[in-house]
Amino acid sequence: MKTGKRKPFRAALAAISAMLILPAFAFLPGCGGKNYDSNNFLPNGTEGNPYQIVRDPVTLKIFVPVTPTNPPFGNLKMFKKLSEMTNLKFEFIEADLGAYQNMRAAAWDSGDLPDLFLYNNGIEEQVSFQPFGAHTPFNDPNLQVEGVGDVGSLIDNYMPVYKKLLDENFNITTDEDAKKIATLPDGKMYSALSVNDVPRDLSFKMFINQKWIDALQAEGWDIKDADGIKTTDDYLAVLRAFRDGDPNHNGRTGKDNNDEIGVGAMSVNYLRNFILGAYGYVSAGVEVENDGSAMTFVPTTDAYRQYLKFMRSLFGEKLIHSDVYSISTDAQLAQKGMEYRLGSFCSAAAYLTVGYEYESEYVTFGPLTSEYYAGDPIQWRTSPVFQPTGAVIPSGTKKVREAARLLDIMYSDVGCQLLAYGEEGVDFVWDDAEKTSWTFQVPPTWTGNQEAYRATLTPHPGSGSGLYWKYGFVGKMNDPIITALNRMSERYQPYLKTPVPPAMKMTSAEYDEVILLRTDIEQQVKYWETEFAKGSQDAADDKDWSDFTALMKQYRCERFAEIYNGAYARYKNA
Amino acid sequence: MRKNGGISAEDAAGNVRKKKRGIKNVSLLLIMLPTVAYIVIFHYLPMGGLIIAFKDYNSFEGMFGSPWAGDPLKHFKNFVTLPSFWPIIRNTLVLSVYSIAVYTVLPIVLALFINEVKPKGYKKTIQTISYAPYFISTVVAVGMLFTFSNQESGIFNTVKAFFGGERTNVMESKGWFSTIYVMSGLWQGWGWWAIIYVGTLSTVDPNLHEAAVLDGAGRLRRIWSINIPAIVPMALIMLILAIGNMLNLGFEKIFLMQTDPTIPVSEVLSTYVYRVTFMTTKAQYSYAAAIGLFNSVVSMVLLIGANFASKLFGGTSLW
Repeated sequence: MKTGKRKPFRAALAAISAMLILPAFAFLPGCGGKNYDSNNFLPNGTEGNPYQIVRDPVTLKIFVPVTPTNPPFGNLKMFKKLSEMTNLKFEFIEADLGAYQNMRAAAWDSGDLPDLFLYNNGIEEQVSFQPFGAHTPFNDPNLQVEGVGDVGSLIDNYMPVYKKLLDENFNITTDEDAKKIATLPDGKMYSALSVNDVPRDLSFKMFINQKWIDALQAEGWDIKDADGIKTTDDYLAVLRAFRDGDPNHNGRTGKDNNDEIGVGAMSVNYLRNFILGAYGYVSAGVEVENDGSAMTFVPTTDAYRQYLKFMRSLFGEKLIHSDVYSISTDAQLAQKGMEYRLGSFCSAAAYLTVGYEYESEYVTFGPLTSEYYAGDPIQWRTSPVFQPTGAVIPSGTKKVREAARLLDIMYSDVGCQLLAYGEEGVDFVWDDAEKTSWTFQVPPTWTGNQEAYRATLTPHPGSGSGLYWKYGFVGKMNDPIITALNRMSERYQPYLKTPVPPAMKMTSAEYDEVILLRTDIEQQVKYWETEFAKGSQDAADDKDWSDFTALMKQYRCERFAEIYNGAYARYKNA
Repeated sequence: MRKNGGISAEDAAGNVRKKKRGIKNVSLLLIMLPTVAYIVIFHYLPMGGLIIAFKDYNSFEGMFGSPWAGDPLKHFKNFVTLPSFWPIIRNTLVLSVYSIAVYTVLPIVLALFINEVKPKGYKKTIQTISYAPYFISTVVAVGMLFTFSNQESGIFNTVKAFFGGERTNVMESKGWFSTIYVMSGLWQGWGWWAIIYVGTLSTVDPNLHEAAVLDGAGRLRRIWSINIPAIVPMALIMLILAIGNMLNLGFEKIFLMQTDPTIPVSEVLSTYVYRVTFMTTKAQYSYAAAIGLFNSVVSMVLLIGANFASKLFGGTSLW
């Protein structure tokens, strides 16, 4: 009897324990230990297929960032085609950008690493992990991989396309040096570059309604055309005319009835950088001086004080909408744009803010200068051409050669096309034999917009993920709106300024300290900007200004700039 | 009685009873096992991760492999010497105390009112309407706040302008931030939080009310002398729990409501930690863990203090 009663109890206990414990094992990371056949790799492809990387299919585990715009990466045309070309299979670990850092840290922490981290590889991680040899260097001639043997320099041996591009600085006219940006102070490249030379994606654009200007000029207003707006005074004159006239011709005019908004913005993002440019800086953080002499904490400079005075004019004279600081999405600004009320605004493209009905009326203008700053005009370069963030191969994987070959194909013309608009002859077709332009083939059955269709082909929409977003191809798109946008964006090209040199690297400890300081300082700068702009504080008043600069010192802005200057000095001396 | 190492008949009977009780309890213990396992796995084991508050964590070396910080209290010191440390703590406490005061008292008032409504259908309707907003997501609720308070077209400003008032954008007002935060929370949770008190009131013995009526007590008198005392123990428990969570202000609503002009009153512990962990190019896990530990220690002290005070003055306590 005794044993008879205990047996069910033990069985129940065992069953419950199994229920609790087995799922835990199920979540344990899969261990390596899979057989790797070194001879399966084809360094030069096959006679019939130069892109083939392996004889028998091999699975490459790839860690990627995703946004809500992206469908599962396995469904993307780009990777299906790459798989077909290379004979590689892909297994994706998709990390939403909102939780990307955590998921990436968890991957490192657990040791369950992919064969490749594709896109979004922060330089801070490369610097921090460099002492541990966590990443496979791309340019180490002595690289040895366990189970494979002597591999040597991945770039020299397995990435001919990338090597040539690096040697030629990607044939891009820029003062940025691709090799310097990719290289850490120890002389090694731990990441493949992310390259973007498409002008429309290198900076924001300021649009203004030329039709309104024409209408007001016809009524006798003494204002300049969009192309003629060169200074902050020119710009203010146009904004005042927008406010006082009735350029949208809806009959609403007069002090309390006027509905035109001179300039629209979302929490003054980008507008801040545009106006600051007129005073000699393009950002409200630490920025390199235009003569390259040093790095400066901008908010305590006299230039920033002038900027605040300009912002006060915008608010005080009601040239900007009063709810600018509570607008946090593009859609909220677009609501005003669709109502045909915005005289000028910053946006990636005019149709995104004012819709297709009015977009043709808006043209780009600027950059500006001012009475205070009469040097060369400057505009914020939101994205450097080269960034050391494209791809990282964690040490420990045996498939380094396969990963390197795959990356090399991604930098090739075919790779750039797949990233941009899909497969030649299927997703886009050349318009002429000389290949001067091509047309995107959106299926007639597709009911969404063009960009949503593109998101089924490539990971680029949404996150801007890509290794080489190439203007040589992207710029040839046959689309009147995109062509006009490309042309309008090119006006900023000669004036672009990157606040922090992209090749400058800090130490791991410096990155940590800077992050803590910046988190605190940025909030204060944003808040005090609203106080000055809305008139609670007066930038023209010496006491208010000295109180503000004293507060910034209390928030250790001097130490903030000092760290940057230390790293900048090392960068200059390298 | 034990005799020369033997067992008496009484002892033997007692042992059998104990064994029977033991076997009977085994089933109860088994039922409890998943809960205990859940608490151990998800609430106690993760506490081991707090170790990184004293380390310079990097994900390559992992939680236990990362080096100890040169000064074990480095991250705590970094936090408390932060120029915005006191404003952050002040904002957290202001919003918490304001919320606790309003969210403790007003649901009780609503519950007392609902309890006095006699027609069942009417009572249920009021209850349903009052707790329906609880199911609106925070993102939508904050979106509604911004829409309603829009300076040009928001309903608040339209009504205000109709009565001759000046249009203002309250979402950009430092002075209004905490009130909007608390009152919108009240609108969403008022009915929901009242449910527990309505439930408590339904357990009040009707004989007490009948006896009070016979003694000539009016409605207000009965509420004061019967209903409120019935609710107080529950209210105290809820208050103690709320005080224990004082520093754990919900992150998302404040973050969504925050605009640049309200930063000095809206930056709280959770938004700061989010900013330093997720909105940077290199997440500061050790630093965030140190702030989390600091937060937990203060919360525990507050909880113990509140529990002690409640026991001392109200006779009710959590333990």
